[in-house]
Amino acid sequence: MKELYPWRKAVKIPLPPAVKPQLIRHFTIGLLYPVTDELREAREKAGLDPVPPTAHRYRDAVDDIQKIVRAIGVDRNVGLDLDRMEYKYK
Amino acid sequence: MTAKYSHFLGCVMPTKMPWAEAAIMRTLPKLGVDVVYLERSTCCPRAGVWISVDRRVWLTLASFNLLQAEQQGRDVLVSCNGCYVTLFEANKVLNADPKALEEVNKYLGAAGLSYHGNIRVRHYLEVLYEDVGIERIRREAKKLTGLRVAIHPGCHMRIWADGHILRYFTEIIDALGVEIVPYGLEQMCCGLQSNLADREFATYERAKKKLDAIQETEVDGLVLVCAGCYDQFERAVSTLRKKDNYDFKVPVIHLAELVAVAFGMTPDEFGMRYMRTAPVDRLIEKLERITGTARLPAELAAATENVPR
Repeated sequence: MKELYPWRKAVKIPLPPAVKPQLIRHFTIGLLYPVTDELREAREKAGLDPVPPTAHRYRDAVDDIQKIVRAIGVDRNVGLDLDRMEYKYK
Repeated sequence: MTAKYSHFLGCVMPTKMPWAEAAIMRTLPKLGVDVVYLERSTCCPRAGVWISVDRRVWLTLASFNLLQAEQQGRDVLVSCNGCYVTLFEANKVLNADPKALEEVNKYLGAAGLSYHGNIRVRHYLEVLYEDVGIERIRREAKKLTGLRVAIHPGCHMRIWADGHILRYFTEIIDALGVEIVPYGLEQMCCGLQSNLADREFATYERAKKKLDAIQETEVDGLVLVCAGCYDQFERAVSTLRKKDNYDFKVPVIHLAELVAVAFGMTPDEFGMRYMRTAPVDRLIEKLERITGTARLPAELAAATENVPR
């Protein structure tokens, strides 16, 4: 393609800075916040399982989300490398 | 036939509000509601973020959560206004637009999944007001007379033109015998969405203005039903404390906590003391006085030791 269109350049997608880390967390753990030691303790004191039955507990749910995101192609559109969890454009 | 629900937790409730999660999951069965966890759930996802980036992602990732409940043969129960709007609206679109459903299933197929749109999405307040029944709540709840609260309905509570969810919110608080103290800024946004564009504005022009007005009323608590708004208030209180030594002393609580106490649970049975934006000891003492469950000093000391700060 580069030979045919030598002036073509990748387009930088203007994602708001506050959104970028949210997308990485979403696609890494499935949710915005991780399970911390303080949380485990507080959940146990509330009589709950220390790890909630969300994607925090089910890694396969995160794998599914990544497959879906790749199928849509939004990772490419926003310049996010899902394998390295890094943005192509800083 | 009695409705069956899968409780969608979202991002904030299981990680910052375990007391609300415990209060909901323990109280609703006592009130005859068949509820289990919606397992394998991911971020709802936030419609405010994703619709502006790529609408297909919003619809497909919302469907991923909806189909977990569909596989369980249950409707979705949502206890956060923000998650409710995301999942309710996505479900509405997928039911009304077969092409959108077909496209979503094409993407879900990459993970071997599919969604059929055969379930309902219901707000925690709808389940309380309509399924449990406001009359039953009025009749059977232990009245928390003497408790004075400010309310933060949140923008997404006004999703319906008839305003029924907002009405349910205030009527349920009233049915518990709790006094709602006006502070004039009830309808102002918490600032959560503004955070994406301007954190200073979100903190000082939205959250702090509300917090200032609420603090002046000297209420026992600020009641909400939105984990997104709670997240914003918690972040704002923490930022203001660090930057300006600002001290917000009013506990931010979920309505489910008041419902739990009014239906016989003690605050320590759902972990009310831990992970709070402001100390809740005075509120808990007051609740225990009102319900006649105040404990001896030795019991209190045992319950409060090793409290994470």
